[in-house]
Amino acid sequence: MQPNTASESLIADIRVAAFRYASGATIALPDIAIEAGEIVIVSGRSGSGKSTLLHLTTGVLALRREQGSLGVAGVDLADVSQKERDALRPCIVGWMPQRVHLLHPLSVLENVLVPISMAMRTTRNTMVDARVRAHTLLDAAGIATIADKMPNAISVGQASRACAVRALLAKPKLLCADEPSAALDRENSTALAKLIASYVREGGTALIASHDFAFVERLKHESESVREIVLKSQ
Amino acid sequence: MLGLARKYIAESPWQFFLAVALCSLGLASVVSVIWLQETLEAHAARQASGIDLVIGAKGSGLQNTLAAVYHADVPNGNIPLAAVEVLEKNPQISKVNPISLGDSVGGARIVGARPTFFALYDAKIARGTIEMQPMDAVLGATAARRLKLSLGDRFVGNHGMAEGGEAHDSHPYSVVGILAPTGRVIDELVVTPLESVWIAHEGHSASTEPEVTFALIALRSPVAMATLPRQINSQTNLQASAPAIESARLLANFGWVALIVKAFAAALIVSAMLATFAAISQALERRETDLAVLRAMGVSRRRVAQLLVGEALYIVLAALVVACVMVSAGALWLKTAALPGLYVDGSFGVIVIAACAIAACGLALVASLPALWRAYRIDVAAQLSRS
Repeated sequence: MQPNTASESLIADIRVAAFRYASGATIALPDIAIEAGEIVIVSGRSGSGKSTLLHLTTGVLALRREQGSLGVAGVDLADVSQKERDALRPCIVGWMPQRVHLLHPLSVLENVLVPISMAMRTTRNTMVDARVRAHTLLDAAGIATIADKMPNAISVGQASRACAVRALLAKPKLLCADEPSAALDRENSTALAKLIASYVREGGTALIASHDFAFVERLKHESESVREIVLKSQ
Repeated sequence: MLGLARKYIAESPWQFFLAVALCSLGLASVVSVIWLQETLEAHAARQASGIDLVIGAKGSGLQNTLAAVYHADVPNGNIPLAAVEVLEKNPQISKVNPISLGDSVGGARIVGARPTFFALYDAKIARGTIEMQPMDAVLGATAARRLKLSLGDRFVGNHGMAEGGEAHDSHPYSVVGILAPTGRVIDELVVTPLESVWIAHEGHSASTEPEVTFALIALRSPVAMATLPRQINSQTNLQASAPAIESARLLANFGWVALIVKAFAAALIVSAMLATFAAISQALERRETDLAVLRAMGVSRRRVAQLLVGEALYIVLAALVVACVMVSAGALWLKTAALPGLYVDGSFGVIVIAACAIAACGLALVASLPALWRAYRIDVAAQLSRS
């Protein structure tokens, strides 16, 4: 079984029949094809495989060929090494994990720059460009004023938006976000929805695990390309 | 990544200082032990340079060596000058320096010697002259400074090697020269012609013929070293001892002390390693989520490892600097206050420090290995799924 990696408009082609965890438990995921410019919302009960789907797509979890196939932006992820899967991030896949966490000794701006400054080979010019983009995204997320603040001096909502900016900084082809609106108030949730919609309008694609219906409604309000998939309980 | 490592260190400076303190103590101990052992051996070898054999009165060879070469013990007795003159005719011997001991001034030994005695120590005159008449004296650099004597000053010697002996009031010495520092034992001595000692001791000796205390011998070949001491010891009333052998025997007697000190230093090094390991492990405990975030953002395992090793390197390199300062201060104190005559080989110190720098980097790597393994195996997905 091979993923469809030929189509230019197909960003992710997920066909995982039976993923086996290290504990021995298995989980089946539905076939999902994500086209460029889509916002795919994955929902379902706890244990339905939302996070597993995201971890496989971001390359954090390894997929064996006999368990299925998974193509992201033309890259077949089945049976590839950790190093090759790591290479997906941050340029092909931007990941916004469930846990909102910024590095404490770095300012918000420095945190946002981590995917460029620490994960990639950079030149002076790329860092200048990255700084400009970081400021633009922080502004779009409504948190430009906290750029120089330290993580312990900002709210959870602001940290969450900073994490979204961090995931988007390297202009990934696919944004994977795991419960991005958890613990956010209405204002922060709306700002986050606008930021993601704006990214998709500029040519991005998003795969979001969420059971926050209000957040999904806000996304639908901001973008017409939202598609929902409900995972069945296993 | 080193910049991030520095920021993490700045976040908890006390833990960093504690780790550096423990680590520097271990490194300083090891550097001190190695440096001190080598310095003392080099110092001993340097004092005995040019002296293959010491010929003295029958008795302990070690005591004769300590008295004649290091001026740290009393001689077994005197020997006739005629016996030394016989040795001078021996074809196996290239140089003979007879010396007479017995008196001192202010704790500095007065050594009766021939002018060739200065050449034995490569001593150069700093002030005055090296040409001496009986009852003239040339002072070593340290002796002159300590006794506060200068050219033209007169002093009397006391009988015996320690202060408080009977003063030879009727035979004062005149200072005619002061030597430049040599880093050898002559710096501590007061040198006078052999005749001065005989004049000062007129009527004190039972013997009517002139005597000296030792003959410092240089041999023509190593072969002579194998035969001549045995020949002298068995066929004459003299005692021949080789400073190299006596010094080695003395050091061998104290070998177990050096071993204990080394074992102690090794224990300190292990504790330094544990301190670094603890610091890095605690850092990892506190920052497991940070490392998972870095990995989630695409930072490779290799670069995450650089972060941890970087922190360990900062600890051990800071400790190395502190250790070097501690050892240098100790060496300076030893050289200026405790053992002024100690010969310190600066180049060896540089070698020890360079070796310790390499060892310290290895230490950092070893100490961070367990943390590296944990960081390598970090479950990014699980770590970042927790709320």
